[in-house]
Amino acid sequence: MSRKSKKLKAEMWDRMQFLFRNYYDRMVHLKLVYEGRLDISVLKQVIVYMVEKAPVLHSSFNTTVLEPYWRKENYTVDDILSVAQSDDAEFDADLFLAGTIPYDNNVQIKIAVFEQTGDSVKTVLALRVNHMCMDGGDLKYFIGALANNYNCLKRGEYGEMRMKSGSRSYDQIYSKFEGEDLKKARGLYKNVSKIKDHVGFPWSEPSDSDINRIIRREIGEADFAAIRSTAKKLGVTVNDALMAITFRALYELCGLKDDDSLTVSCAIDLRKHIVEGGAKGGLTNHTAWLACRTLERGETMSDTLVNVIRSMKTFKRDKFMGLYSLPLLKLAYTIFPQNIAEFAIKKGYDNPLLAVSNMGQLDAQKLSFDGSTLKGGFISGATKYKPFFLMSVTTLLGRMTLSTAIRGSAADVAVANRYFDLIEKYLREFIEL
Amino acid sequence: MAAEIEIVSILKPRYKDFLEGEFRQIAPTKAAMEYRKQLLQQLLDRTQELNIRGIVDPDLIFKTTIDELGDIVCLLNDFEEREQRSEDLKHKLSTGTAVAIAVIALIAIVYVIVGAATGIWHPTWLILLGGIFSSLILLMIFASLKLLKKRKVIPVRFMIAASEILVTVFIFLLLQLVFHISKSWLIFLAMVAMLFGSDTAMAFLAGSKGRWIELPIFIEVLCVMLYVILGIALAPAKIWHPGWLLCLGGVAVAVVEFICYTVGKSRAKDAAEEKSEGKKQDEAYWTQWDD
Repeated sequence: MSRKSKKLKAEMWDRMQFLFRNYYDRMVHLKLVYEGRLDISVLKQVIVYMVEKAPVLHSSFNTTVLEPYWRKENYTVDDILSVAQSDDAEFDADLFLAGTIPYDNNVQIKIAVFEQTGDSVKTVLALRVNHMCMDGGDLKYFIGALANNYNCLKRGEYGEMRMKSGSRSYDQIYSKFEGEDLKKARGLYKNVSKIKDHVGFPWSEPSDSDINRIIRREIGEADFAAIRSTAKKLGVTVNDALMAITFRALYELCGLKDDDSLTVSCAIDLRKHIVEGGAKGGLTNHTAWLACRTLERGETMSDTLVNVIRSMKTFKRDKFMGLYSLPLLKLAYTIFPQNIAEFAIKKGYDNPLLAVSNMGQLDAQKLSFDGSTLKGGFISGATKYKPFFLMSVTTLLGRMTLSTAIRGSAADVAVANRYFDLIEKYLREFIEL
Repeated sequence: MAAEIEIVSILKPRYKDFLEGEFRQIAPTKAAMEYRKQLLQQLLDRTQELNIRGIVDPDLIFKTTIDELGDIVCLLNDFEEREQRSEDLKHKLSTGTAVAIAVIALIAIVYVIVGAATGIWHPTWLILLGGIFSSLILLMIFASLKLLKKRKVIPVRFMIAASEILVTVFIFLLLQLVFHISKSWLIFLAMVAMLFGSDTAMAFLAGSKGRWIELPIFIEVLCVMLYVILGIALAPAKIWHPGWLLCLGGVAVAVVEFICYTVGKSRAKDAAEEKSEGKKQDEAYWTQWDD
């Protein structure tokens, strides 16, 4: 193989996520708990099959003065997959998830299988991947494809095995636009990262002893069903409800006055703008933020919900939702060499202090490996550095998992748990509407 | 996407009927249709909000939302007026553009005819350039008049400056290419003074706060440019010395003007204070008691 063919283009979002190393550890985390054992030999083959189709996963990121690039690296499946017996598989999986992958590593994904020892047949599959390679949306696809391919290989149905391997370019998001709309979408040179409110999560002061931690809270089936039912009754989405609950919890946790304004950024999947939802493209990032802002807390949960949906509607009704700033970023990366582009973008970009990323439902059916039963799991976003805060939300088997990953101390765990307590408190208020 | 709630499903047809009926009072245009849809969305949003806040009676929600719209007749009349104004403006703008294009086309024809008849294509191309510049200046005058009506002075000041630059460039080309006058480039120095002069005049006309600051700057620039132009134009006559006194004179005039301005302002302030004191005194005469 020639040296040239070993290079892969570093796409705009790869470079943006590289820039985000200043705000978080660039890892996306997944944990799935099964009853039953996985066939490791089959799993290894499937992993290699998929990683070969997505070369960015076995590449190192190389920075140069002008333009960074990915370089395909040699690897073995053992660089990616580790298997261990464990007395406490879930604990060990959590420890594994706290790790990171250097951007110049030969592989950008790490998968661990922990088999519970003793009488239990519990198996925990943990995965962490460089956010520069894919976002939560494509991680959902990846794990679904992994389970599907595993099952197909076990049954010898080679024709049913799949793995998308198309373009990773950001500009697929314009594929549904044409004519004037396309022209307008490509001309949205507006910096929307600047927000008016600078309220931060009350994390403790950063310390050298801080470590990566994922704190989570599970909302049970009954409560989640009640949220869905109330949301349906009121004609709002579960995400709207979650945002309203989050706003009330943050007003209280951050000690804001009732008439203070507050902005919480909400992740949006840009694949809605792509033909076939990006099924033809490769693994990449297609996520943007919209800044949901309320000017006051609102006396009741109803008031807060009204404030939230008013803010959200202005975004939802915009056919260019999430597409602002992208031409500006592209321009900066096109005309400036890497270091200057990073400097300029970092100067102009405000990473959201408070954010929610609702990755939606994980399909238990699609995540099942033959011979084992899925019992639970979640996806969590990158481990943020203080003062940033991100709440990741996934739903699986009718249960909703809220999680936040932070490089912090035991005190920060307590703050996060206090936040989740408030979430549960306001969740009840919402259910009673 | 959230499903449509029952109350919205109930009220949507009623809102549609209501809006369809009311919109018959105004002309059936595409803009009116868009506005009607916008009002429906507004009513539906409000319905959802009221429902979230606890009103479940559809009739009450209907009444509340329609009341919140205000006087629908006024609303629609206002909309029509806005549309009419927008249409008028578009018409005038398109007329202005058409006139400008016609002028350019006419001048292009004149240029071709003159060129073909005389066989001289250079510098007759100045006719074409003059036409384009004239059209641009006409457009800027037209836009300036519109902007002045809206009291938007800053873009007008820019347009005046742009017009002056175009005129200067044209005159320079004329002097250089047709009349072969050496040192015709000096007109660009005059242009600088002219730009300051016209902008100062505009500042005074518009009552701009900085007009008294701008005036001495203009005077000084005028003197300096005059000094340089005369110095170069009248060479070899040595007027550089004592011509520099012109610059100094400019500074002196500017200083005097600034002193007068400061003194005047101070006096005006004193007068205002005296007046205020007087008012206080009068008030005391009217209302003060000895107890």
